[in-house]
Amino acid sequence: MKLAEQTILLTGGGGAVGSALAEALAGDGARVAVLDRDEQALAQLEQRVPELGAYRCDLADPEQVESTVEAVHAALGPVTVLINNAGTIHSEPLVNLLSRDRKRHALESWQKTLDSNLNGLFYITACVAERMVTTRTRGLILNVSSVSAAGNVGQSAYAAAKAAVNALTVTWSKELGMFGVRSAAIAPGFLDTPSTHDALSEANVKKWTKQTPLQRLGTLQELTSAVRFVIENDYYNGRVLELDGGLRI
Amino acid sequence: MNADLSEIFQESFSTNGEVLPDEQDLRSLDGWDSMAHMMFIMKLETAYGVELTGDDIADMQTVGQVRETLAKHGIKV
Ligand SMILES: NC(=O)c1ccc[n+]([C@@H]2O[C@H](COP(=O)([O-])OP(=O)(O)OC[C@H]3O[C@@H](n4cnc5c(N)ncnc54)[C@H](O)[C@@H]3O)[C@@H](O)[C@H]2O)c1
Repeated sequence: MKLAEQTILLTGGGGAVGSALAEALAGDGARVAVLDRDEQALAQLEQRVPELGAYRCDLADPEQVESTVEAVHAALGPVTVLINNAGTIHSEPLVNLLSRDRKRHALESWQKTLDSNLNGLFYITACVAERMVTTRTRGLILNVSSVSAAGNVGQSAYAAAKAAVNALTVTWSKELGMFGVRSAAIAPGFLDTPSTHDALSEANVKKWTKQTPLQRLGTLQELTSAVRFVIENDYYNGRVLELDGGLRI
Repeated sequence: MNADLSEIFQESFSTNGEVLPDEQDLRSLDGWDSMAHMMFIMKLETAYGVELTGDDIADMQTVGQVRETLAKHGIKV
């Protein structure tokens, strides 16, 4: 697929990864719409990259997802690339002996983490893929997963959500391939982003950096180059591209 | 801090085996995270044959408090 000919819908465009991707892909000449539930972050991105279409939407709400996809189609025409990037890193052990009162993983954070990383991704992909298939639009579903999908200590909900994202990637590649719709994922290790530094203590960032064979965090440029590769390579399908500097957790 | 306790700190939080001061906050150790902390508790229980209560665990925020809590169970370190 030629990047400059694509209409890209990118979720989580207000975040670190999303805003870098939106800017880069718009710079490549693609038509890019971003959605996010964070209105302020969207406004900042729009200021930086005015050619983008920015849509406020909470992916956890299927009705908002439906109407946003409708609005994007009306404004930009058929979406050819959906990048499911929205997500929230959450760390919480299943049982926390250190807590005086509540020791069990909260159900609320379990639900929220699944909503943010998995349920929304399912709702929007169903909406977009239906349009691709029924209008015979060739396209790509590109999911942003994580090295944590392998099962990371202290991350029950996040790891489960990302493992499910990997499974959906393979499932959809098998279901949608015959329509010319590819499905792939990129699983970054630890990137040098504010979200990494917010979610992890500095000691933990150091620990993961040390455990990464390349001894450093990944960069947004490296992630962007992986996204370009997956979009442009028409034979890349049903796989999770691991972009983690060789880190195994 | 006796040798055993230093060793448990080292194994749990990757400290370099030095004697840590009483006022040292466990959470500010470089190798601290909640899983390492729970590993530390389990190692204490195994090494000293003690079962720590929820309150004991919550009370142990500094090296000094670890010693005091163990002392409460009749263990001098
Ligand atoms: N940063 C890293 O090191 C890293 C590593 C591995 C994977 N990832 C993945 O990359 C993706 C982007 O991460 P990031 O570092 O940019 O995080 P970020 O927190 O900076 O951005 C995530 C964005 O997603 C949006 N979002 C979350 N839930 C949403 C919902 N329900 N509806 C609408 N928007 C929602 C947030 O508002 C935010 O703007 C995530 O899927 C994350 O799991 C990041």
